[in-house]
Amino acid sequence: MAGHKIKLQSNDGDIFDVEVEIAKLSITIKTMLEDLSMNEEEIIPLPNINSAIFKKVIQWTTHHKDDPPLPPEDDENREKNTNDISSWDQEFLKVDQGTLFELILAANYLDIKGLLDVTCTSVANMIKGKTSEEIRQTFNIKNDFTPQEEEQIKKENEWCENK
Amino acid sequence: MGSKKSKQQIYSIHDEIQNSICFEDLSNELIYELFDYLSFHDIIFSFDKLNKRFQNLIDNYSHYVNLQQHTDDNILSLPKHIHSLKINARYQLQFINFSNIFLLHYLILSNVSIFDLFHIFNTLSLKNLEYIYLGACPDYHRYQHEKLAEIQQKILLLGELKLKKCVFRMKLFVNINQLPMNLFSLEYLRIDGCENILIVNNLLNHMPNLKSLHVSILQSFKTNNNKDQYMKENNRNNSLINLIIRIHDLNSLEELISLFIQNCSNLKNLIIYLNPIRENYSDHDMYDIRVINLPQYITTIINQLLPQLTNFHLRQRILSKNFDFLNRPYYFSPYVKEIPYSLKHRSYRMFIAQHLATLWKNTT
Repeated sequence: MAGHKIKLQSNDGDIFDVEVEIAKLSITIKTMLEDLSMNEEEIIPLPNINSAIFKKVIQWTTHHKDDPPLPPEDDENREKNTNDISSWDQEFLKVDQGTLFELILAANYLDIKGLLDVTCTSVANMIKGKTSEEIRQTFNIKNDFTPQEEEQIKKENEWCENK
Repeated sequence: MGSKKSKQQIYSIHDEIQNSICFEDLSNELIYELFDYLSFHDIIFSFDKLNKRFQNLIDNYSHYVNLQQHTDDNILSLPKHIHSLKINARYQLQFINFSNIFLLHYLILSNVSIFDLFHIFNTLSLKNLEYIYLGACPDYHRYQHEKLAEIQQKILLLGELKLKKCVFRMKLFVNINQLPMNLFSLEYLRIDGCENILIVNNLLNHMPNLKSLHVSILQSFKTNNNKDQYMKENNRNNSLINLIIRIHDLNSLEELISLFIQNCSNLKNLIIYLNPIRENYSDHDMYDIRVINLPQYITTIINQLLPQLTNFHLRQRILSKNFDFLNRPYYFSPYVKEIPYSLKHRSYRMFIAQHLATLWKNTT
């Protein structure tokens, strides 16, 4: 069923017609529409998102528009679950690192909890099991410690290492 | 707009993306969001001594610690700041010094002896605690009521500070009259055994902001000789929105009315669990007069006493003839049947266990 649409503008000027119900999966956009009384004819600017990433966001929200709300956190386990990524999401997240991080930024800015959850889960799964050195290579992170500073950290940490 | 996209479409969008950022461009806030998806050991293993920024982030991050990951062969250091701590076996206590933990927000304890609970609650700084889960104690004996009551009291008193959610997977032993009247921060409470409905009512008098209560009622107060001591309070609690109640004695069903009158004027969701019955339940089980009268009783109380109710569930688990690996009878839950229900000025939804739905056939 086609619903009402609103116009959303990415930071590179492209305008997207998006169904209101899909756009409202973003709490940021929902708040703009409801609390700031923006009408449906106005073009809503999204200054932090480029059109390519926004297309991906629309693709994700369209696929997940009928998902039930996220369950409350398990009483007995406050740690977030990093095992369950649906096969559709796995396919969706087969992107380069830059795109994945841009999606995290977009999900955070637009306040789309489900998308933030799945993108963070994906990055967490990339991190798990990797040593600091492997992380440095995977994410191209430079070591800015001097040898003296490294030695100092090692000394500071000795007290709490294997007792 | 279609709801499903093919793999080809996913890739075609991906190809258009050219600008990219790197991991280090993520804000500290987002790095911490990512840390929430990793265990303490994952974080240390992967980010320790990576560079100055990440070292600083690790040093200041308040970690989730699950001591289940520690074994005698794998004793690892613990972080400076622990946000959430989970202990589910006594041997794990050897890995931690509770006097070094100051900013704990979540605490999950199960299979810990009463002696160890005493040690934990007398050592640990609890003033920031927002959530506590207290599982059953393996060494519980009847004569230890007083010790458990003391621990429970210490926990419930945190309702004067920051405690929002409290779960006791055990019977309530605390003397409610010794609790202060204003445990204002408590919003969620679960108790797996409350003597009777009068105690629940009295407890609610002390928790003016409680939104959700999950409680098992063990017996009718008709059998309680001290009921007068619990009936003296007559405060009302209007904050309760969700109520899950397990009835172990059908006589206490009608006593729920006092709870509804006193504390449920804004209740939206009500789930009642009846005591489980055998798989091949007999006419005697089903045609107990109190069960037969359930539809009439429930529709009347909802109509008259629960004006805000939108969802009502009546559930009853069935004991199978099969036994689990500990030789306990196996439970299963029958399908729940939805029965839309309309009154003159309002409507609500009922969800009734399939085997009980037949009781409603003459009322719909």
